[in-house]
Amino acid sequence: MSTNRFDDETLMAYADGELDAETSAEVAAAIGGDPMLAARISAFTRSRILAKRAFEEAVPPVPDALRAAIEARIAAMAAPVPEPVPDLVTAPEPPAEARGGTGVGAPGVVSLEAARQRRRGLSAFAPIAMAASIAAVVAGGLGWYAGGSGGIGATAPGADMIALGAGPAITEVLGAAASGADTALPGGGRVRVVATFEDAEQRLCREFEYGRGDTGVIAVACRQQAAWQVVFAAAGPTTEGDFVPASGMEALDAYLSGIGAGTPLEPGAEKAALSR
Amino acid sequence: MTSNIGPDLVALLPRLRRYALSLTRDGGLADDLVQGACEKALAGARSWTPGTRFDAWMFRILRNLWIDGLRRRRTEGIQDHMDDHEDIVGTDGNRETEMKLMFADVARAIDDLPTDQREVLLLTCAEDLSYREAAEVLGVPIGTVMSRLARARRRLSEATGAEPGMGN
Repeated sequence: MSTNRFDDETLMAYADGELDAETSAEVAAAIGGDPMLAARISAFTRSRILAKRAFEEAVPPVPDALRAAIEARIAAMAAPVPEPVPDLVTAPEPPAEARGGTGVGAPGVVSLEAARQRRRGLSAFAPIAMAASIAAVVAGGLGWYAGGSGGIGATAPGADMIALGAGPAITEVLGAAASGADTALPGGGRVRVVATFEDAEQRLCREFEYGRGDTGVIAVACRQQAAWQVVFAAAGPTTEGDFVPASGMEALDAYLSGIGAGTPLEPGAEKAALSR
Repeated sequence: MTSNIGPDLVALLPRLRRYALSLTRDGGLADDLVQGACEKALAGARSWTPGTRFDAWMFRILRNLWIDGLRRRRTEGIQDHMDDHEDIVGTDGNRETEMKLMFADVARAIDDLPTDQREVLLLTCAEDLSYREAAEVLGVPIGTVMSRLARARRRLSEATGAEPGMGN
């Protein structure tokens, strides 16, 4: 099977989680036997993360004059909220100086950013990854990526193994195993499904842990058109016997609240949902 | 119901300006562009549908304003003042040297991209817009977003020495 079977756009879409389920499955199936294919995918995952970080490092401060001008305009337009009165009539003086000077901490300023952080796993995760030196990734499909401790692009030991071989086997476990069950994979490593829940869009999702050697992964996969897609994963070194990277939990919590994860399903409901 | 977009708009300013800089590559022009876009948005706040992505809506307004302005400048024969070109690369920050070098490479590579590739990279990778959302902001088909984006990312990979030895 040739690496050239998939063009760059397809692999990029796979890395970005934008590929349709059917083609994703084809790519996922081909990865195991084709390291070059895996390398091409991880190059796209890597370039995404690099670009994101580079842009994030380079957000220049908004000039005070610009910020003040916009805030003044907002204040002028906002007026007391909508009675059915044309709002041109009385525009109270903008409290520009209350916000303009230092600018940064104006009330309400964080709202969108906070919402965005909640919505977007990667943003929520980035600072934690930096601080805690764990490998992490948010990706669609099984295009996992490990951004390691020392810097971008370093790969945590063992993470490639996870990316290369385990996808299909994990998918099988996700489709069948009850929460709490600990399954040894044929190719090595273990999977334990932690919980099953629905996200805000009523997709069935499962939180699971994967461990192999001294590397652990905590991840979330959601079922889309009968295929399981990993939507969140954090990998890191683990201590003996405990295969969850402790530092990934915070990121996971942030991610789960971001996708509107519901309460875990009871065993009966879980079984029914899985067989649906 | 009137939507009060003010707080969201203020919160979005740094990212709006970043996008503006990426389009204009000029600090003064970027400020003008951001201000113009904000004014348009405030005047037309009712046309934003709550529940949809506010940032994508703003990016589209800003971009359309830039394109309109470009067209006008071109027809009026006025030159861009590119003299005080502002580098989008941040210079401070004290991370490890290794990382700085890496980011310097990445930032330079991004800076060297053609504008159409740079903006699609920013919208998808930094702003987390989906291909479809980016296509709507840019007013181009998804296929165009994908081919520009793949090209941009191949260049980044090349520039940072992470070519998997493939690609074309």
